[in-house]
Amino acid sequence: MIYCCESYLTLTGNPYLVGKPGGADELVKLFDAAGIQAAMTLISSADAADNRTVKEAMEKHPTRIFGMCLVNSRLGQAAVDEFRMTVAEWGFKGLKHSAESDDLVKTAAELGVPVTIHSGGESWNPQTKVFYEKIGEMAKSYPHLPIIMEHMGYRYSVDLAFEVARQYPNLYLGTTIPAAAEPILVKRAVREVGAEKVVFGSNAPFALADLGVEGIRRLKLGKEDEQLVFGGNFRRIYRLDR
Amino acid sequence: MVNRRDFLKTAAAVGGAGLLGAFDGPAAQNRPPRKMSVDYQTYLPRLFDGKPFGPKELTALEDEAGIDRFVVIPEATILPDNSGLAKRIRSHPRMIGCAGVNPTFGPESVGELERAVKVLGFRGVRLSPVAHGYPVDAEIVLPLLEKARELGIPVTIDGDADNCKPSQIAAVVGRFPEVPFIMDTGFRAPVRPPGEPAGLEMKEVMRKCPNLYLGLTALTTCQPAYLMSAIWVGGPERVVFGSFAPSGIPLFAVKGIEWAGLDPKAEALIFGETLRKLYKLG
Repeated sequence: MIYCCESYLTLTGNPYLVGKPGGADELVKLFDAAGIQAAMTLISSADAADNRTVKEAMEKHPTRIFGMCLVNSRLGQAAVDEFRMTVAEWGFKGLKHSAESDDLVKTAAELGVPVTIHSGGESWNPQTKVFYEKIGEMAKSYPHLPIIMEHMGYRYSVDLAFEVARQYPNLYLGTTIPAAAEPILVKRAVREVGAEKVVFGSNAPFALADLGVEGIRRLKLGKEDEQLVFGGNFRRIYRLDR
Repeated sequence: MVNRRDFLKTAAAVGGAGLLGAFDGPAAQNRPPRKMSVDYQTYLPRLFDGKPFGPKELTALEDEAGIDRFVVIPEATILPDNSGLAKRIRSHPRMIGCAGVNPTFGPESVGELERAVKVLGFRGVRLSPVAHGYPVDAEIVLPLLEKARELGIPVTIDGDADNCKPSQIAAVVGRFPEVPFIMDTGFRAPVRPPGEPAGLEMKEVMRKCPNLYLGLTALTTCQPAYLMSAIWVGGPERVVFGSFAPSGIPLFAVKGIEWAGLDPKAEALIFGETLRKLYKLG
């Protein structure tokens, strides 16, 4: 069974949909086409939407769409409060974060809710190195908090992402985008960091989810490793078997 | 926020009325067989995925995608191995050699380009400002571009990276209007959906430089917004197919384009018509 660590709930008219319709039903159709059972899902910043939009989608498709909370960390306590509420009252399972606000990460650790961080950047840029160091510090400060580095540093910082992921057992690599664009890098991640730390992500509907799935299959990782990447790690991180 | 109607209208206006089909329309289902299709960016590493890799393996990837001809570029080492590449592709007529040159070596690089074209039979040149560490509009590049003009070959370059920003690309491309330049749009995002500043800047560069083309890779085509934005920015006649094989999978790049359901004329331009002209393929 395939689970995805990042997808987006969009509204029709979102420019990144290039004319395709948005909405929960459309997203689930994409999951069906790619063989994805369920995905962590958040709103797109290009839409006039909020976490409630995801909540409604979850109510419609409770076994397919898992809420990932997106809040503006600059709102301080209000952001923390909203995050708490989405978890406690609406059943959200994750937090999309930018490695900025410690209060949000602290709350995620307290609630036992995994955090997802966008990772990319250019390895030769000094700020990029600082960014990965920050992720490492976060992982060190909250050793029981699973943190998924979305895009696994793709394309110019995969080595930095691999290095930091190797150092901390609670850091994971999300295959979002490279699985479709350059699947061989996912194989490198499995070899260098370990299959138990690589999590499938599709970025649907902004990326073609079926190509991401096929990209992983082509790697011929072996049954056990493939299952970990496609679903085993996700189930463990998001505690689906509890 | 740009709505769907505005996006389609703008894209059609830039790309040429009637060239863009409805994205969810029947174009993809009624697609005629492609005429000679060309991939502008492939590589031939000796090892890939821990196994020996050669012309047979690269050809298999392109066969799977239905691609007829493919431009092969040497890896961007400090001194790209053009001779080594020439030997490996010699008996593979579907492969088109593209010389890799490093202008930081000065006049030697100009001589190497001439040798690669006249002796090795290569048909294009690749500049790698990011890997080789020079600005694409630096003085040291100019003799190489003069040679490319003299030889009548296209130039491919990095896109939207340090040393290769759209403004720098515009500066150098504008000085050589007779030379076709293909700029990678794969690993950076110089194109964005309408309304975003990065996209607008690139659109202006494309307007100023009619000899500039946008080269796709699997990274662009697996994200429909980037594929369509490239078309919005350049028009289908200035967007060319590329896969970045073997790291990118040509079949995936093809599927991404087919997914968009473009008008067959637009698809034909992207898949081969334009590259056939640029590389003077029969």
